[in-house]
Amino acid sequence: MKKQLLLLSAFAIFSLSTSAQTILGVDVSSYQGTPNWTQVKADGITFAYAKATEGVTIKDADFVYNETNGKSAGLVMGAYHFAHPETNTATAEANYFLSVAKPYIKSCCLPPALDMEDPPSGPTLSSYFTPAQLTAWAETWMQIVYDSTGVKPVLYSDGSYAGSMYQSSITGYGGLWMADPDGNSSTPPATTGVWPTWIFKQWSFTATYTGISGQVDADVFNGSTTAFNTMTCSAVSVSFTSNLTAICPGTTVNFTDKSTSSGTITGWNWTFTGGTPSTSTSKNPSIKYSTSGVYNVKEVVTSTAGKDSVTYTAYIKVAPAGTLPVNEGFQEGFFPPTGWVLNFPVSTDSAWEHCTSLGNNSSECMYFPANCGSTSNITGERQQLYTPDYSFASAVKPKMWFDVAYEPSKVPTYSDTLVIYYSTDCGTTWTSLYSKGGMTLCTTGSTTGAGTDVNGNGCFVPPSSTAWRTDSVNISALAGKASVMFSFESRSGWGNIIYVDNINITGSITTSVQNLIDAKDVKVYPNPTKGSFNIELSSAQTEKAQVEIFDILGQQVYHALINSGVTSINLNAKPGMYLYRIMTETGDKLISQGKLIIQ
Amino acid sequence: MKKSTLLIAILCFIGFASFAQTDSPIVLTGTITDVRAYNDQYAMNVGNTMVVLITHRVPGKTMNVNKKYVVSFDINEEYKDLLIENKDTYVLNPKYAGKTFKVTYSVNGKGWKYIKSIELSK
Repeated sequence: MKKQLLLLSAFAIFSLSTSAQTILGVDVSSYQGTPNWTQVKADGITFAYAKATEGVTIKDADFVYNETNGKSAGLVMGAYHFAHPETNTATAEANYFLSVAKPYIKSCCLPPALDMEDPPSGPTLSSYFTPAQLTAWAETWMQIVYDSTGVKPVLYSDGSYAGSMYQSSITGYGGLWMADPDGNSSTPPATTGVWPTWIFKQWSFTATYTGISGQVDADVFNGSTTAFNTMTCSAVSVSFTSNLTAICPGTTVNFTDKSTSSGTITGWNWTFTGGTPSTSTSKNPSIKYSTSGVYNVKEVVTSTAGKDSVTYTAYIKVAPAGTLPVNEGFQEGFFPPTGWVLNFPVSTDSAWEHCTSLGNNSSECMYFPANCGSTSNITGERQQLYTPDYSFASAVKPKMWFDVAYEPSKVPTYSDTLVIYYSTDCGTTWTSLYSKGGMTLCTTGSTTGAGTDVNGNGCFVPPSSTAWRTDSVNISALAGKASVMFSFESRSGWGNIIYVDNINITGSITTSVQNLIDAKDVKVYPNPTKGSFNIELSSAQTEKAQVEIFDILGQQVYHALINSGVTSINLNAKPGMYLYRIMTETGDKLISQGKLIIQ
Repeated sequence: MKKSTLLIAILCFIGFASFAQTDSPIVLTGTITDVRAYNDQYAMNVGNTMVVLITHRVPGKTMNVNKKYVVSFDINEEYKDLLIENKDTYVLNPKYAGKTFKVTYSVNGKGWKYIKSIELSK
């Protein structure tokens, strides 16, 4: 009985001692064709290196297959590079390797590997390099890969080179993958050269496994399952959040690191373009943004297990401060206007664009052309144009009006919508002010004959100013708000083009109510006219005024905000009688009105 | 009955595993030239074909610290003396110089044509 116990104990000890080094792997290239990785896994293999690249021109034909299917089968995969230091620079080879393998070097994979062998033909590496030169070449390659991936590569070497061709500085990288094909996966390599220990041992060049055609290199990991998991899943996963992303100038944003690592995180390096300070090594920094713009945030996290980085592009949006009143006719010659920001909820969605061929009483406006002429159905795409941030703190009866032109597709289901929002928290949250679509948005009273046309034939083009309409938006509730942004959103129904022009936003100052312009301060001449005439506001007045002109049917044909002094207007309208109306900037008081005769 | 079933199952498994993978040895004939060190192994040409002789280092049974390991070649026993040591490397044993060999090789995991067995050609 005692003998049996002793035997069982001995067996248990033997099992434990051997199981400590039984994490087996293989390394493959196109020589092995396309292994059945499910069978390989079932044959007891835990990990696999797949050849990714060789030199600067050879990409292993089966690399992607191996990485994808090996991982799917549950193996821990890694990528290796077969070096040709006798031919190429380390930098060129590292960059080539990264161009192919980097997408596969991520959390829970093997560290990238540099395979340093004698060239398949010609002299040995030792005939090309001194140990210092070969070490420098390998270190350059590994440093570039480390900088790019955050994971220290391992170096594959045979025993002779490990002891004679490398200097000890090389041990600062990911460790040694030792070629020692002694046929024994349970014993350490005969030598580890300048390295104090080893990570992997390639114990056979001629192993066979179910699922792999022919012979294959066999490897073993030096350590326990826990050590293996720690090594392979050591890539740091970097992420962060912040309390704000859309802010006004002068706002401080609090960033919170959310990174994880199987190792211990030891450092944070932040880069805040446009922020103050612009860099930080704090875990949770607070950064002030003083200047309007759209900014990236980069975080690099270092841990005992490696390092990684992430850059959130266009993460912080600092709204510019605008001044009232606004009279945006898109005449600047560029788009969007200064301080206005195009927002792309989906980066590939269609966009508001600058129309340079027409406008309402001008030759420029903004429009959403993709609604008609797009070869793909863009229904559902939304895109916004944000205004700067305005203060209505001292305003009374703020007003907004703009010109719009739209004719729906003849196919009712292809209906587009224009929505206008405001935000009082610099774009963090938005509230709808205006929403019109389809026939409600239509400015001509009919649908376009051609409807949606992927070739762009028959897309709506406003034939004249009569095809435009001035829409007012009630923003009176915004009086007293210190920070207000507006957003013009196109909700595409793949129907027809929406045109917008002459966006006016006013918010007269309370004190200026006492300085209302009197009728005697306004002159309109010549009248009758052939189309060109002047409106003169008393030079004693500094306030702006609204000018509206209507035809005899009551249809508005002109609307503008003018300054004091003389303003020349060229009204491209048919001969006839028109009515003009001049009001205060805020539109809350009539100053003057009368007839205008076009001859 | 159960034991016999289990035994059959095990034998079937071993049989499948054994025959799941086959490599196809290839025979090459020629004289051996250009023996050189290659990735801790030894490469040589048989005719115009480069083949590799797999090398093992085994702990040496000597007090000479420079002979911590001794080299053994993975080749059929009668030709273990194919290569002999000469000034810290190995060269073709002169007694085989100019002889025509029949070399059987396979392709290993590295794509190397490695010698599995060798014999003098008759």
